[in-house]
Amino acid sequence: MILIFAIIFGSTLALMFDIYLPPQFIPYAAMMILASLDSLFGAYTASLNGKYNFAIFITGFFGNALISALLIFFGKKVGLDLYLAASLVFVMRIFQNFAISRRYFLKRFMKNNDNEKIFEKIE
Amino acid sequence: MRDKKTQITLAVLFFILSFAITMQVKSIIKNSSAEKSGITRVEEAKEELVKKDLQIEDLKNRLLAATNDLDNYRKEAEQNTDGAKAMASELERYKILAGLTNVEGKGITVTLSDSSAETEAGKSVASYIIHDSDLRTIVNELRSADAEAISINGERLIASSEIRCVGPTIIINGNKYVPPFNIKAIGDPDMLEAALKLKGGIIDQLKSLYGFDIVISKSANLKIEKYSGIVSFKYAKPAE
Repeated sequence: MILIFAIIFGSTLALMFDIYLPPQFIPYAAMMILASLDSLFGAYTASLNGKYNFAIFITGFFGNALISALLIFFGKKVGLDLYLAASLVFVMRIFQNFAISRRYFLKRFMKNNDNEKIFEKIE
Repeated sequence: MRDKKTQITLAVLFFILSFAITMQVKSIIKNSSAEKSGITRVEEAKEELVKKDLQIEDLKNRLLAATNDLDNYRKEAEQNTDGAKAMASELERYKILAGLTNVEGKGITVTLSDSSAETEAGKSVASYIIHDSDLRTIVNELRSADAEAISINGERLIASSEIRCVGPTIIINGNKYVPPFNIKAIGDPDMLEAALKLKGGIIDQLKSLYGFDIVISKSANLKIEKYSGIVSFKYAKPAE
């Protein structure tokens, strides 16, 4: 509940002010958003497996964003589109995490329905 | 995962994330649609209308002046005097047109320097320095906005003036110049500025695509020096 409220509050705050990002910052911001989303998905998957760790999550959330922004900056300096590599990795990890949590929920669903054999086929 | 501390941290992170995403989407929408919005078109049409009105006014005035001139010539002829005075004022006008006399009046000054923006991948370094073609386009734009006298770095542009790239310098009237370029034009300041600042026009392109440092300033009293070279004709003679 508090999370939904946070999301709504954040977007309304952004809409309220008449401030815009300068065009040259847009790739950086996009990459940072992607990095943060990746950490969020990662943390969610980890929590499903009981491996969630607060410190790892927080450092990943900000550290990934920072490093990806630095990568873009470096890439611009050396004339290499490094943001492609970073976005590829992040999107791949998001898909991977989705796959893991999908298996987790499928497993639970199957167990509830007593279909152990079908589940084994999936596995 | 369910304890209060985690909840609050998550809420803060979600807040930051949603703020960032909304900001991003907002900025991208603004960047892509700013140029196509209908408001700017209405503004342009208004500007156009004002310009046309001014042109009509100007043409009427010119017609009046020409009629007066004609009357004066007739009177001179009738009175059989030498008409020296009328000829002198005529000569003055031709001198201004040819750029052979110092002129002053309202106008604008445009200062251009090479771009200080970093080169983006895929764009040539050569695009970030001022070319002769950029200057020619600006001068052409000024002339189309009825500039009556133009000079670049103090070099008066006359009918035979060239603006040509030679290595890292630009030759104007046979003299070499390097950036920054200081273009002065006498004419209606508002009109000249509007012509240069046209959306998608030369200044807009140079500024937004390559980040050139361009300063346009209006001036109530601008002075433009006369052409300092010698005008001589070897081949052209008045035809019968």
